[in-house]
Amino acid sequence: MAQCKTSPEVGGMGHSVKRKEDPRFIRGQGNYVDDVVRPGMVYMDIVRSPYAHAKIKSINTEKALAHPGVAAVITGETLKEYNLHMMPTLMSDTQMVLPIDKVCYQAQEVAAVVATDRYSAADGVELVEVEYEPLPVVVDPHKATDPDAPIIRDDKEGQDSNHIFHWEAGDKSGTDEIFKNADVTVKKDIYLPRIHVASIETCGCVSEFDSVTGQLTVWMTTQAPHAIRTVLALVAGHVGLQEDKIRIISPDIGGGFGGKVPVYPGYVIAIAASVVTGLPIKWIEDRRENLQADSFARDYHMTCEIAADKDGTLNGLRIKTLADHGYADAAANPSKWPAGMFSICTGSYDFKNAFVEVDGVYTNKPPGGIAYRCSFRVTEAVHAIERMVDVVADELGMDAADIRMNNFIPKDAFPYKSPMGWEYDSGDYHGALKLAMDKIGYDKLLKEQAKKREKGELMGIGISSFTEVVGAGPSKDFDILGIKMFDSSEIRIHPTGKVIARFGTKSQGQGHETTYAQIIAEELGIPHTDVSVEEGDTDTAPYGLGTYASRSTPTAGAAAAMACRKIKDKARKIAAHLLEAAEEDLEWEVGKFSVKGVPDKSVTIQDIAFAAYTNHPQGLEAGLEATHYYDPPNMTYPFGSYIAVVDIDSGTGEVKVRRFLAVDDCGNIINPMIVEGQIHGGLTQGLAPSLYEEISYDDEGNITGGSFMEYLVPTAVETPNWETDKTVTPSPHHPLGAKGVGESPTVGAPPAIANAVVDALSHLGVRHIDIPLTPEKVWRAIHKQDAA
Amino acid sequence: MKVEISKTFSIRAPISDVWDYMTDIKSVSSCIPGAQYNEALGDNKHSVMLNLKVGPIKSSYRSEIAIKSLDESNYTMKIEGRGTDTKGKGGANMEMVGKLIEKSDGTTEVNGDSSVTIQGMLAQFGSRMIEDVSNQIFVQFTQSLCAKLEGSSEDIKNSSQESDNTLSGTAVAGAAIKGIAGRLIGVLKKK
Repeated sequence: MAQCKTSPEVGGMGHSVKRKEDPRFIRGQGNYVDDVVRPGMVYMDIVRSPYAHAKIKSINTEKALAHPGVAAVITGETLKEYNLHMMPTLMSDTQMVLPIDKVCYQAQEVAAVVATDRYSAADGVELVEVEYEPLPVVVDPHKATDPDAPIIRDDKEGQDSNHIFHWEAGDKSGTDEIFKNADVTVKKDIYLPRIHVASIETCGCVSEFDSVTGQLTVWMTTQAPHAIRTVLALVAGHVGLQEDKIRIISPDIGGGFGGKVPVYPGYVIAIAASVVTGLPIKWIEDRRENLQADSFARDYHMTCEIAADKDGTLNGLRIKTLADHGYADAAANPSKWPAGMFSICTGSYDFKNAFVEVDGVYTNKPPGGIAYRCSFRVTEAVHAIERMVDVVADELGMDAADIRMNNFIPKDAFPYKSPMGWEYDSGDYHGALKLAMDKIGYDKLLKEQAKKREKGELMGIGISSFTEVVGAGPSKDFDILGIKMFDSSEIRIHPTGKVIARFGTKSQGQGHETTYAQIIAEELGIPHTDVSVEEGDTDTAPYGLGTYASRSTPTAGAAAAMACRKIKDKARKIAAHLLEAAEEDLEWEVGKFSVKGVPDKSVTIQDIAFAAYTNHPQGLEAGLEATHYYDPPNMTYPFGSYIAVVDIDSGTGEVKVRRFLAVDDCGNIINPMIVEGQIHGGLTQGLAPSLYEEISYDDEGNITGGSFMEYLVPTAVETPNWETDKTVTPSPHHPLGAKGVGESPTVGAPPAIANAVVDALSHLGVRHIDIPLTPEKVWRAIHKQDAA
Repeated sequence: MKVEISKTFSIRAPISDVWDYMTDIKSVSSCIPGAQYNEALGDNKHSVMLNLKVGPIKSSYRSEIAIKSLDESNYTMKIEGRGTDTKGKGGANMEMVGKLIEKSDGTTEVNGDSSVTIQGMLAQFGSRMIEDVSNQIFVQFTQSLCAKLEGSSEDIKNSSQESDNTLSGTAVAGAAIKGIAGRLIGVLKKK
């Protein structure tokens, strides 16, 4: 680690220090929501709809209430008394907490049973009798706006179709002009199916209300505790919940991936029930509830077109998208963008012009569109562009690497303004792809493929050279419910030089306790082992928008650096006082101030911390602490080039990923080991939708991928050996030059694998197959049968 | 989910006897495993309770069977059934067209084409088993029906055991597994 500024003992940026959180996780000593036990706690379980669309004729709770241990059955009518049966979504839509007269998707919450123990609650659920009258369903989004389609949201005034929104970006006429005059145009329908994060820990909460003090405490599986507190105060203020008396605690979280951003009805029912009964209530989803009802990702039907010159120069891009949002628009996009940052779809390429449009529709499926980067829609955009570049290459008989190299935004063009208006901060796309090709032996692989083809063997090489856009975001553009998307850090140095640092973000496995400590170590020279990091308790942590969308390092990480710099400014004053020198005569090196030219005359940051409480200069406040709310000036744009090599069994259609090399560039790296771990995890989560995962529905709206029997999550057996490497192109505007990495691999991996599979079959005339690339679909493509 | 089921079988009984029996919902429900005839609702509609156990799911369907058309000259009938789970766990709809053909040997061929739409838990959980479960129900139904119409005492004994009240979960699961195993063996043999 030649570039590290700090010693391994201090453990600042660039050191692969071991994760501070791991000892408790490895020993089973984590503290998750389900570990929380309160005196007198009761349990809640949820009755769910078997129908995708049905009228509720009656709900009979008699038998359930007669069951020993059952204390209450809560229905929509119960909540209606408090006007809590409906709630707003983050997208200015509404969704049901519990229904009054109809259900709109299978597995929707219908009623809740509260009982003295979990078993009685589950028994009570079985005993609630609901009489339904099935209604016609809307499953296929392409038919959602047909004139004879049943209106799903007939509860909304003026909603006379299932159309939610139309959104467009770019220059329509300019792009159309390019297409009119193009040498070559290609067009493909690309569908990214509904998937689920399937985090190890499902969602749940423990809600406790003190009816004497009016204090509500909720331990909750949430990635954004502060936003939840504000939302609760806004929607439940009328029943007496005020923000100073709401405390949201997000303890250890077993995986979030966006699935723990939304406010699910279960939370609201549990909170309402605890406020009404005065009893602490625990609600924890089971696996099927989690898979079937919680926020999904994707479900984008894209029609993509590229206009190019004969030599492969990419000129114009057009994408028309149909977005299946389920029965409510409950995504978590920044308010301005109903299709998130989908317009990043020109990717790593220097297009002259582009135009995208997205239409959102309601269907009888669960709402969401948050998980896995879904609200920001970068995965969708990257899949579209990376697949389409290969389609152009195939059309022109060009090599997939050559066409990329010829069209990349050049290194010296940054900051680069995309035709869609994004200002890419920095990049070296040629460098990343070249490294990936050299490292994997691209030319040799091409030769091997040619030989295998002669023998009739199917081998494919796929490239994905993606550009990400993370770190939401600058307050001029980014807000959620009006709250700007800054994030925060509050750092206090104790007299003995130890540190407590609190953040507005919330780790779900990212290792914040380690990386934030390393940022502070880098900035102040205090050993990372002397820094305690706390997040997730709204009573103690500074306000922030939480952790998702790879935003923690770009926002809260930057906030930590800025707060440290404020601390250093004050430390300089104290050092000057202690050394009896002028402030401007002092210079900083890791962990100490010394007098210029007199290196022996120095004070350490620990000495300064002690003096801040014991011997601070007159006229200066005691203490050594600072808070910073960081409003990023721009997004950061991590990127990478991935190469996948696949072998396909022509008899079964089974795809085997033989090699996968990921070159990532996330700017300056805080902890290389954690970055590598995040890349390994992200790549596996990219492999999953490429080959296995899909939440599918039959014509009646029954979920046919709603348990781990059908929803195939890859295990270590299916996962190939990930090979990783990196280039480092710092962000020019981030105080640490860092960019964020958590989601790059899950965004970049699927097109690499899909491109490899199509490449393996390209000589058979195959130009596209939608993921997941199941043996059946691949076999049908090989044998020239339409994919099912 | 939607399941299409087409079945043909023969009964050693005159066509008019078979027709009379099969168009009498009360009689015919006594041959369906797990079915319990409740009452005639008038207007060619009947109320029947259907108890079914598939793997871990035990369901009681409150069903309404309607005879939509009876064409005695062609021995063709059209029946619709709508069932909802009594606990609100799902439902099923069925449309069936039945046709009887008189054979030269004096037996009657019964052809049934049904389309069954299933919603709810059963559709989610049992999708892999439905085909085999319906086959098993059908086998038990035909055995029972033949026994009634052909008057074989042995068959009556067997069928009354099987159709006790609830269709036996173990029997169905066992038969379903055999069905799946049989298909696998079939596939292997083809190779």
